[in-house]
Amino acid sequence: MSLTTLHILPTAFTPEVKFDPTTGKFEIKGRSIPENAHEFYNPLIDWVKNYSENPAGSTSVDVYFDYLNTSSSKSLMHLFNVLGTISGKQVSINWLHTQDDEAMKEAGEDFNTIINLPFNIVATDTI
Amino acid sequence: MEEENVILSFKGIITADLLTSVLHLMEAKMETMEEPPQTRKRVFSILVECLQNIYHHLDDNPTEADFEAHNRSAVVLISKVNNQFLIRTGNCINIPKIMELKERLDMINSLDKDGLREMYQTSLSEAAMSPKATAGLGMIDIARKSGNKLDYEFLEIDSKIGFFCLNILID
Repeated sequence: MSLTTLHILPTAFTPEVKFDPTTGKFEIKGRSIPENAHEFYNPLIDWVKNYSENPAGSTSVDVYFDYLNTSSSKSLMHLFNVLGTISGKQVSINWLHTQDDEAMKEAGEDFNTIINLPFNIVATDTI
Repeated sequence: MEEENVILSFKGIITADLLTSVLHLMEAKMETMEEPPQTRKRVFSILVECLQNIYHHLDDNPTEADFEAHNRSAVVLISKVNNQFLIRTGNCINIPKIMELKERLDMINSLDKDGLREMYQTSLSEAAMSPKATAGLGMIDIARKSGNKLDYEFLEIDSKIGFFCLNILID
C-alpha cells in the first residue's frame, strides 16, 4: 500500500506540515509550541516510519520555525532519527531561519551538532 | 530608583486552556509595546517554557491528599524593571522533589554559555532515546535565552509541601 501525502494545517501553536511521499519533498513550517508535543509529532513520526520502508530517491526536508519549544525539539529529534534510518537514499534537512533570528539559528546549530544527517542551516528572508 | 511596571499577572490553577490564554494575551500585549522583535521573541519563548514547566510539573504530582487542589495553583508575574523584562513564577512542590530540582538549578547556574549549550545538546540527544522522559530541557533553555542566572528560592509551607519561586531576568 502506498502512502498518501500528509498535510496538516497550521494552528496557533502547531506548524503546517506537508510531506509528499512521491517527490520526497517534506515541509514543516510555522510555530511549534504545544505543551504536549509528542501528541502532535507522533503521527508524523509514524508516517515517516512507513515512508522509510519505501522512500523516494531523495528526501529533502525544509524546516522553518518562528517559535520552537523544548517539548517540540525532543519530538523533532525523534523525527530526525527516524529519517536517519533511511539507508541507500539521499536524505537532507534544510533548517531555515530569518536573517535576524539568532534563537532559531542557534536551535539549528544544536541539531546540526547532534544528528547524523546532511544538515543545512539557511538564513533567508523569504519564508 | 527601581521602577517596576507589571505587564501581566496571574494566580490560580494552571490548566492547558489557561496556558493558551495567557500566551495569547501576552503576545497581544507585547505587540503593542515598542520592543525590538528579538526581545519580544525571547520573552515569549521563555514564558512558554516557564508555563509549560509548571504545568508538567503539576501533572507529575499525585492527586493525593497531600497535594490537594489548592496546591495545584501557581502565580505568574511578568513585569518590566528598569527597562528589563522579569518573569516571576511560584508553584507548590513536594518536599522530596526539592533536592533534585535544586541540584539541577545549581548545575545550570554553574555553567557559562558554552557549558549550557553542551548540556542542552546532551540532554536533547538523550531525550530522543526516550521521548517521554523529561530531560529538564526547559530550564536549560530558559537559562540560555535569558542570558542570566536562574534566581530561585524554596519556601516551606508544611512538612510535605514546599513553594518554588523562580525569577528570570531577561537580557
